[in-house]
Order: sequence, then structure tokens, then C-alpha cells
Amino acid sequence: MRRGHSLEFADYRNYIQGDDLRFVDWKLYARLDRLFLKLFMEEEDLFVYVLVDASHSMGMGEPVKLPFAKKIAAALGYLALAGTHRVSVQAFDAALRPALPLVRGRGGFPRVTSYVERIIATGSTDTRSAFTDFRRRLRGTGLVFLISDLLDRNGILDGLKQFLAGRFDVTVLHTLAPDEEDPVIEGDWRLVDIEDGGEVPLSVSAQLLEAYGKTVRAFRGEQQQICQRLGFRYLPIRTDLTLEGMFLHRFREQGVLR
Amino acid sequence: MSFLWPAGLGFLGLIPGILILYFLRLKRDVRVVSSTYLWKKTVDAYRVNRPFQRFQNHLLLWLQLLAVLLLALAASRPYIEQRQRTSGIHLVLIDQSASMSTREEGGRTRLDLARDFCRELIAGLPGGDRMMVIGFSDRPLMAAPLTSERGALLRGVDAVHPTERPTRIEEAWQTALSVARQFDLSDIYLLSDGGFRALPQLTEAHANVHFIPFGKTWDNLGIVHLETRESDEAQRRVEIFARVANRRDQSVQATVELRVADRLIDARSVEIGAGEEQGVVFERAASEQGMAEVRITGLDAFASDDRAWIPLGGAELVRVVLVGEENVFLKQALAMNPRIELTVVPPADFAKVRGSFRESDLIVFDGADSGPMEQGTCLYLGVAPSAPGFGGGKEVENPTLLKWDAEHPLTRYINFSTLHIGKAVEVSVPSWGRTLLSSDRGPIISVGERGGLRVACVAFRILDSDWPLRVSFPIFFANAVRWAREEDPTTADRIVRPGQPLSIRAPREPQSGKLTDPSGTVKDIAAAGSDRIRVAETERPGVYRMKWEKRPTETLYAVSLTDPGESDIRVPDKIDMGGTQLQAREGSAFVRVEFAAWLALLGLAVLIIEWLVYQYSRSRS
Repeated sequence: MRRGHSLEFADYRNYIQGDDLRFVDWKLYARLDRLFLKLFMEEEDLFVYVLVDASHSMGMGEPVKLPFAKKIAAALGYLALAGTHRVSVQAFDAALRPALPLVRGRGGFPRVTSYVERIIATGSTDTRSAFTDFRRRLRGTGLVFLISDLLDRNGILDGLKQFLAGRFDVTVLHTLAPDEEDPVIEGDWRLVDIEDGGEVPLSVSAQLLEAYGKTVRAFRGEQQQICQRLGFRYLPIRTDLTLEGMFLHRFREQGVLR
Repeated sequence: MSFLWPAGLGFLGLIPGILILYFLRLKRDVRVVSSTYLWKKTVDAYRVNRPFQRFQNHLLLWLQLLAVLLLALAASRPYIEQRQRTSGIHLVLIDQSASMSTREEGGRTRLDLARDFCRELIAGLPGGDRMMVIGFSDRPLMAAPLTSERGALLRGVDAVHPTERPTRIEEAWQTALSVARQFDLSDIYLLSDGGFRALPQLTEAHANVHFIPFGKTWDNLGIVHLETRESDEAQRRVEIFARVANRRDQSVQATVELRVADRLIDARSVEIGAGEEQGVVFERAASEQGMAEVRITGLDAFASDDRAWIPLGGAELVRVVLVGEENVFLKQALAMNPRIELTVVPPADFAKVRGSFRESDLIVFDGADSGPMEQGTCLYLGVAPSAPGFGGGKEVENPTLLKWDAEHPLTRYINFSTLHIGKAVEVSVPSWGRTLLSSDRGPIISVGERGGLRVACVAFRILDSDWPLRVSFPIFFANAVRWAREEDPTTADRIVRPGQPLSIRAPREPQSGKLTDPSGTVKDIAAAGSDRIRVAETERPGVYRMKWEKRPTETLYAVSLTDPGESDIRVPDKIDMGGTQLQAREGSAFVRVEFAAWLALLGLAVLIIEWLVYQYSRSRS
């Protein structure tokens, strides 16, 4: 937050000549016999961008990831609008889809929900293409909430790097369904990728499932490392979490919300 | 556990097929996932994408293997044998005939095995059940009466010794049936190696008959027949004819030896095809005396039929009574046979002493008729027999001989064409008689047999012909003696089978004698007027020597098995009982319990479980 002239107290600093005497804390002067200047948070328009992964893979999982992501997007939108910020929601798959233009004030919330409701899962994930497009359209600052399963076959590093071009405060909500983390499956299967149609023949055993669990944990860790390297906030979430639990606890614990 | 259809285990060959299917992973269900990215990374690390995967502990696989195992076992019809609980009355017949002495693998005889089996039966005899043990060869042996006392039964089993006797089951079988008839139901166990053709049908007896065979070997080469026969009249040779049977399943080269008086005389090598018989002939002089032994060299499983004995030298003792005046020619002709005991009685005395000659073999009336005879064998010379129907007429001179019967025992080997008869009696032959030598003047030699009386008539006196000068003269009287004894030139009356009684001709004069058996055991025998003495102790095959105190020579008797049935040591798998086939071990002491049906049901249950598990895993996936 930048220091400004809002009503929200931010800090004290020593008085230096030339400062506006209206901001001197006289009560403190009376106690300490020294002049301190009261600093207030500067009130300015904050842009909140909620990017929702709407690729085919988000339509999978139990519970399904996309509805869960849409709820989070709507909730974030509401909180931002309630904080008098400007909110834009944008769905993407291999590219950015038409975005919800920035809306402001609580009266804009219906537009947010209307946009979010219309998001459907389709296409394949290409974060690099989608976020390059995002960078080109927006040159500025703001908060970016990325809700995605990050199942980009090419990796997400190149995509996330696009946010470095602007001064974005990025929070990655890495969303996976419980059955993607701990699949209940046994026997012989031919797994088909919903996005690229790739096949993987499997004979599932307990040992294989154990190995898969390790792969998922490694995948989470890898995404977290990328985010940390880029200075982004990484938050792993599962679709079996409740919104209350997530917003009231997880987001606050992770500093996403105060 | 055994299998009725072991080929059913071939279904176990399905197991490799199942394993291959598991390893090959030929067919898979499709499942759409959000991304195969993570799976691929996992699989790459795990290297499961090979044609053959590593063996994995898969429940379905184990269930399928178990199902195949159970179904294959069911198809092979496994069974176990359990001791049967039956009527409570057990009648055990143990074959103790010679063939049961056959040695099986392991060196034990069939009888040993049968007795062991019987001991097992006794050990497993439920309380209150009763058992009887009967041994049998050619006669039954009541070894243990019907009792529940195990000690007595075991002693009975021990008493069933091996014998050298042939198999005659009928008497033992009737004994068992007579006991069985006293009960509502009984079990008869027949422990045998066969050797009998059939059993009579059960009558008035309700019994489960269990034929339990013992023995597997066919390894036997045995003498199944031995006899002597004259080979040639002129040379007076005797043929010793032995028939050797090969019961093996391959042809063999056998050496057959002839020994006389324990001296090796001759040996022949014969090749005998599998299951076939071969005759071996040795020739000896007819005058040779002693005991001939025919022996097969080499070892086989059944030794009792490898040796057989037969006496040489005609009958043992022939009693001839000559009623008539002194006749040198006749006495000489009869004296040629050293075994003839000749008594000469003047015609005038015969009437007084005729009762004492009742057991004579032959009475020769030389021109004398001493009244009608009711029984016995009589030879009339120059006089018509005093027998009903025979009649004598006038004397005829120079009859011309027409034809003779060359087959009859009296006239065989004889050529009458050179015989000249001065005068003869005209004899009428009754309907019960027949003419052996005829002439233009009527019958010259005739013979008849009626009731206990056997009559031969020569219609001329010896001295009224040139017969004493002819070769046919001594032959005729030798024939007459054989005809009187009703015997072949062989020595059939001195050959018996083991266990059969020897009938020893006793001398007329009371005296003692000693009978020595093949083992050297001497038995004292007393002749006290009876014609024949029966000796039952003939268990041991070999030569028995009878020596009478007042006779110079000893008489030899042979005890040989020579039984084709006993030599055939093959064990049948079924026996005929009154027309029905009784399978070996069918309903034996042990009941055959099959559990193929249970295995099949279990296999099906496992298959159902496998299917349920499969469906469950699919629904979870």
C-alpha cells in the first residue's frame, strides 16, 4: 500500500521542516515533547485481476475443479468490490478469452457472477500464450489471482514470467481435485488425456499409486518453487475444501487476505 | 490321494495362459483423465510400459489361478480311500495257494502282503464287529473262527502258511457262504491273486464281496505239464514230454534240463514267445528206472513251477495170479516186468483161496475155469470165460486170423499175421463184449466189461500155438497188465500235486515200510492187509521214496505242481461271480471317496468371487 491521505492510519515519522502541520500528532508532542507526523494510507484505485483456468482439464476431478474455481473467482470478486477496488475476471485456456471489463463497487458484482457463470471448460492449457496475451493487454499494476490446476504440458514458468513485466502482485491458487491427488483406481487401464488425447496404458498397483502420489507431491513442490523464484505467492488448494475454510483460514494464514 | 482321471490335471496348463495374459496386458479399459502428464511421469519412472510387466500381487490373478487349480483338480476326479464301516461280520478268505508264494517287488510274497492287509483289517476292526479268517488252496483252512478277539484273529492270520498247492476256492467259498447265511448282511473279503475261473453266485446269503488282488509281477516261466509216453514199440523208447509256459510279456530263451537220479542227462534251449507255451521232449530207454526231473534254469518270481518230477519204469507193483498148471512161457512173459508180484495157484486150490485174491490186478486162467467171477480183471486162455453171455463151444482147428484191433490197449503194438494156432475154442461173445482178433472160425481174442468185472479171452491155449515164439507174445502180456491196471504206459498213479494224497500200493504180506519225503523226513508206514495206503503229507514238491521192508527195490513217487493255473501268476482285475463281474478293490475294505463335485463347486465359487471383485474394482474406478 502506498502512503497517502486516506483515513486509514499507517505509521509515524519524524517531523521535518516544511511538513504540513495539520498532520502533526499534538497529543504525542504533549507527551514526548517531540514532533511526529502521522502518516495515512494513500487511497488509490486497486486493480484486481482474477484469472480462471477454463481448459478441459478444469472440467475434471471429483469435485470438479472448474465450478470450484468459479466460486473462488466470484468470492474474490466480491471481496475486491467490497473494498472499493476494481475487478476484472478473465477465463483462459490456450489463450485469453474475452474478459469481464473492470467493474467497481458492489453494484458491479452481478456482472462478475454473470461472467463467471458463463465460463465453460474447453480447450487445452497454454499458460505462456494466455499470459503473454494478458501482458500485452495490460500494462500496469494490480493484484492477480491465478486459479488453475497448472497442468500445462509445457510448464508454467514461461507463462508466469509474463507477470513480471508489470508490477503485479501474483497469487497462484493451485487447484487440484482429491481424486487427482489420491486416485482410487486399480486394474488395467488406458488413460486418455482429455486435452491432447494422449494415452498412457497402466496396470495399477499399490506400488504404482504410491509412486503417483510422490509424483503429485513433487509436482506441487515444483510449482511452488517456480512461484517463490518469481516472488509470487503459491497456495495449494483442493476442491474438497469449503469456501469458508479457505477464505477465513487458508487465505489469512497465507497472507492472501488480511 | 489318487486320481481317477489324472489327465484332468492337464487343465493346469491353463495357468501359464492366465499368467501370460496378465503379463501381456492385452486389453484395457479406457479412462479419461484431466491430464496424463503426471501419470506419464510416474510410469516412466516405474517402467511399466514393457511387453511383460513385473509380477504384481494381484488379487484377481490369485483368484483366477485358484479357480483353475480347483477346477483342474475336480476334472482329474481325485479320491481318497476311507475305511468302510459295514455289516459287522467280516469273512476273510486268504489265498495260500502256490502262486501266492510269488515274490513281488521288495522281496515279499503275495501271501505276506495279503496277511499284512488282513492284519490291518483286524487292527481297524470296530468294536463289536466280528471276523473269521479262512485260508484256502485246494482245501479250506479254518484259521480263525468268527470272533471279535483280535489276538485270536492275528494268530489265525499267522496260521495261514504258504503252500505248494493249487487253487480250489469252491470249498472255502461255500464255507464262507454258510457262515454268511446266518446273518442279514456280511462282508466277504477275498484276498487272492486269482487262479480260479469263477465264483458261484451268492445264494441265500447277503454279502458284500470285496475282491482284493495281490501281486503285479508277470515274471514267470513254469513247467505246466509233464508226462511220459512210449515213442516206439520196436526200440522201446520213452518220451518225456514237458510243456513250458512263458507268462512274461516278452519272449525268452529258456534252458530246460533233464535229470535222472539227480544226474544231468540232457538240456534243451527253447525260445518261448510272450504268453506262449512250448513243448520240450526228451527221449529215454523204456527200461530205464528212476525219477526224472525236468528243470528250468534261471530265476523268476515264482519258483515252485520251475521243477517237476516224473517216475520212469512203469507201475509200482502189479499183483498177478496165475491159475493153472505150470507154464514156463507164461511165467517168463509175466516175469519180464520186475514189478509184477506173481502168485501161481493150482486150479484145484483156487476155489479155496479166491477170496484172498480179490485185490489182485489180474487173474490169468490158463485153460482152467474156476467158477464164475463177479468182479476183478480176468484173462482166460483156451477156455471160455465164466461170465454171463460168454459161451464156449466145440474146438476148431487151424483158424485163419482175419483182422485185429490195433488200437485197443490189449492188442496194440502187436502184429498177429505170423501167429499160427493149432486149435482153439469156439467162443461166443456177448453184447457187452467185443472181438479184438477175429478168425474165420470165430473170435480169437475178445474182451468185455460189465459192472466190476473185466474179462479178456484168448480162445486158444498157449501151447496149442506158436505164439511163445513170436514177439507179440510178451507184448500181449505186458499190454494185459497195463490194461488190467487201467493205466497208460506212463506212471500216472505215482504222480500227484502238492497236497493231494499219495495212494501207495501195499504188499499183501504184512510188513513195515518207510516213506522219505524230499526233505529227508522219514515216515513209518505199516502194510496190514489193505490194498492201498493213503499218505496225505505231500506238501513239499519233489521225490518221495517208499521202501518196504521185504521188497528189494524202493518205489518212487513224484509230487509236482505242473498246474497251468498256478503258473499263470498274472492277477486279474476282475473275477466272474455268477455271471457278474466283480471288479478288483471295488467296495474294498476302503471306500473310495470322491470329492470332485465339491472341488468344482469351490472352483465356481472362487470364479464368482473373482467376478464380484472385478466388478467392485471397476465400480470404484
